[in-house]
Amino acid sequence: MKNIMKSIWYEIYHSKLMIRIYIVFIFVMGLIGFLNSETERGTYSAGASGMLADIHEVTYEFPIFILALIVGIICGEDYKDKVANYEVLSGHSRKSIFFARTLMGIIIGSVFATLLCFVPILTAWLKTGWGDSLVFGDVMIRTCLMIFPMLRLAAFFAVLTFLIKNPYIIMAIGFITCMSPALLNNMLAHSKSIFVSIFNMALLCDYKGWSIYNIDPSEGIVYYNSYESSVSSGLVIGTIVASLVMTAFYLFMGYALFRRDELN
Amino acid sequence: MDVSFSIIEFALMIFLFFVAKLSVKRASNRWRLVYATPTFFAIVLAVFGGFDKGQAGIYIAAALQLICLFMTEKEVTKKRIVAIVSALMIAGNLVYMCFSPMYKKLPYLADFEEAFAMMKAHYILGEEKGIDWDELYAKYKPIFKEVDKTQDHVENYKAWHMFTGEFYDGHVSYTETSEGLCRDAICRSYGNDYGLSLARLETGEVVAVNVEGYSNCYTIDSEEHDEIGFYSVKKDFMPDTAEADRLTLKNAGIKNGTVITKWNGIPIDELMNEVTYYMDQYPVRENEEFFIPIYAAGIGPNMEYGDTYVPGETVKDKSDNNIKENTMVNITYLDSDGSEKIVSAPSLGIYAPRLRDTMDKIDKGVNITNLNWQEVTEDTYLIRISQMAYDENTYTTSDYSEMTDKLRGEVLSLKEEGVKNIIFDLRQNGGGSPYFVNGVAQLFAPLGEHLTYYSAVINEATATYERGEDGKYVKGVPSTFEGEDLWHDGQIILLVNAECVSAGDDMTYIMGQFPNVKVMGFTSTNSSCQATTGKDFGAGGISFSAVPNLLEDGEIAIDTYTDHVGRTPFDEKIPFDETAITAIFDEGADFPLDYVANSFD
Repeated sequence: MKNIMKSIWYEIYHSKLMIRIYIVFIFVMGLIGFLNSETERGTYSAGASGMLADIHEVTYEFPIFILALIVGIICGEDYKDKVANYEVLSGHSRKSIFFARTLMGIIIGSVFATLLCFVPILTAWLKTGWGDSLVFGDVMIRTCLMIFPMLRLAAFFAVLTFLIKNPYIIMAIGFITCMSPALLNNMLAHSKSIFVSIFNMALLCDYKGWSIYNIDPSEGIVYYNSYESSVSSGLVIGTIVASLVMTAFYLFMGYALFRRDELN
Repeated sequence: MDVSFSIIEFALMIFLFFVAKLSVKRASNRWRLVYATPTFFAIVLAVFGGFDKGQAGIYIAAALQLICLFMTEKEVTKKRIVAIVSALMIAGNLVYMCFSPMYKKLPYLADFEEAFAMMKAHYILGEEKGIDWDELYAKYKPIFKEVDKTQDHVENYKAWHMFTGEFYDGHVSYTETSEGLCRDAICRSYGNDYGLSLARLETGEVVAVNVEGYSNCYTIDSEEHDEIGFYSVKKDFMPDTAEADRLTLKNAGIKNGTVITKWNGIPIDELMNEVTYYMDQYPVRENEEFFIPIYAAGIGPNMEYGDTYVPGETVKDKSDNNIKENTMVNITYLDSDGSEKIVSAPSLGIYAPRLRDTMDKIDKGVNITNLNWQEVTEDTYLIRISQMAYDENTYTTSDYSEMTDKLRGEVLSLKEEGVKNIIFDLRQNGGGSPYFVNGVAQLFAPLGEHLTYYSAVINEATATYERGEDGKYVKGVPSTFEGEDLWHDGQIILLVNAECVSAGDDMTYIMGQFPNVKVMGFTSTNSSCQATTGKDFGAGGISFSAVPNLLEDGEIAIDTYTDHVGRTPFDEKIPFDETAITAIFDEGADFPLDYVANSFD
């Protein structure tokens, strides 16, 4: 299993395509942060913290796509040339093949996707400063916690990859998933449910706050917002526990399907 | 969706029961995908329909099928046992979903806690209204805890209306999320219909109004569509005997204006003390006392205010006895000779539709579009202002110049035609933009600058309004307008009532101070003019006063203090007497409008 993991890591590390795609995503995420942050209070709050408070999905929406990409490539790319078949023939057990690929896929995917979440925060900060809407430490804790729902979602993508055996379809599913919070907002119910990974991410980026307005003779209605960024222990524990339990469940489900799979 | 999900999963288990043997006869590696189907289906439904812990049994049952993936094709019996266990778990969960009141439990207590915390932090009139937050919490938490336990949406409605009534603020209100539950709660919260409403005359006597059986009065047979939707449900609450009993009061000689002296032996004035909540808010004590009799007419025999008998159901009376039959009240009245008589009036159904109809008959404004004119007499025109809104574009701005220009042209045109008097029909004006008010008021204001209110200074970091050392909110920017005095030689009457609220109060306050303007109505305006905010929770939403409007001395504008005395101008109370009763309920006339039209010099 260790050797398979090493070979996967070598492949990813030396994959120019993967590196280039990741750099493009860093650029895109940076641009998102740069364009969405405001220096002065207007309709939206000012500074990087204001951007995060007002536009929840700015950090996690696109990284879902890169997550699907990485998991799809690691778990599904080798079906084209039947590498997994050869690994079985050369004496590796199905268990080690499955868990090597899956663990590498979900760990690399979730780590790189979570790192991407920090990019728009950084570029917004460089452009407009932090602002006064949120506490920096709280935001960092919440963004670091993103790795858990990313891990859970990656495990789900891994299960799908082993079923569908086509990395490009997984990438398409990843694209649809990353667009779903924006496009399917009215269809997706119970957005506060911690047990669904994209909703867990939304919960981590949802800053409870108070919004009120004042009536100005010249400007009409002017809005003011204040946000509560502290992280409750319930949210931390719930995120970690739900993610680990569901990740384990998806791995179990994936292996149950993989162990008798024909690998072609 | 929940039941469909259960049925589909149950059907999948039955299918898997048969697949267990079929996969041996027709061997294929693809059968294993079938065992993963229930889990995938559950995951997809959790994403689109929401994860529901009440369906945990179904989720576990679906996941259990994954064990079959570790069994060989020949282990048919084991797979079938797993399918049966899963099917039983799903069936058990379905029974729980169908019969347990805890399933899809509405968060009544959680809503109260969250709403209370929000109001305690951000309601701006706590001091002015004398609110003791600790006392309020101690009083209402046990009530909502009980409501949460019983999941009784009717008691939830009553509790919220009692709670919001404590503020004596027309802007504090609660609305249920579910329209159906809200309507059902209203139907069950105002008692039974005994064929009449009650009203108090100027003389102090309480009389029958809106009596069943008289033309222009509400009838239980009415199929007229109302805003709340009573027409669609009231027949469900009607006893079989309703049609036969419909004319009981008319046959006894009770008509609109008949003096009522007792209700089930209780002196009529004492009956009023039993009313504890209302459909609307009445911050002005005088207005509250005007409407109390209307609410009291639904009280049943030895029953608590609001308790409603529904055919086929049981309700308890004050002595904790079960009421299983249609209720009847003994109404003591003065007949045409002045002697006291008693009639036993059976319930004709729920009282809420007649209650609402009575208030509408008394309070409704002229039914024409906002900002439209109607000729009353040759030299008197009416302008209907039902809300302070012009169009979508201007509502959140301060620029109403387009509206003002249009109105100016219309006013000048009327002046040229020789019109001398204008009636502003502000009845049931629900409010809107204060800049709309300015845009209208400026046309009629004396020449010169007029101050309306000051905004309050806001703490931008915390988004809260804070009081200064003197206990008052800190004055911000004043709002002013320049008067044009277009109607200098004419007269204006503002026709108002207790449902004229918010920016409706503003217009009354501002224009009521002009020398040629008089304010009249059965009741004064609501006296609630602070700007509001609101929030939706699990089972409903609240709104409350959250943005101060200040007078020049820093005091809160218009809203009542703990004395519950109205602070808007009110020059003449239209007498609510026998003439008014006859005009409104017998003749179907717009009595307040007719009275005002005859009031001009």
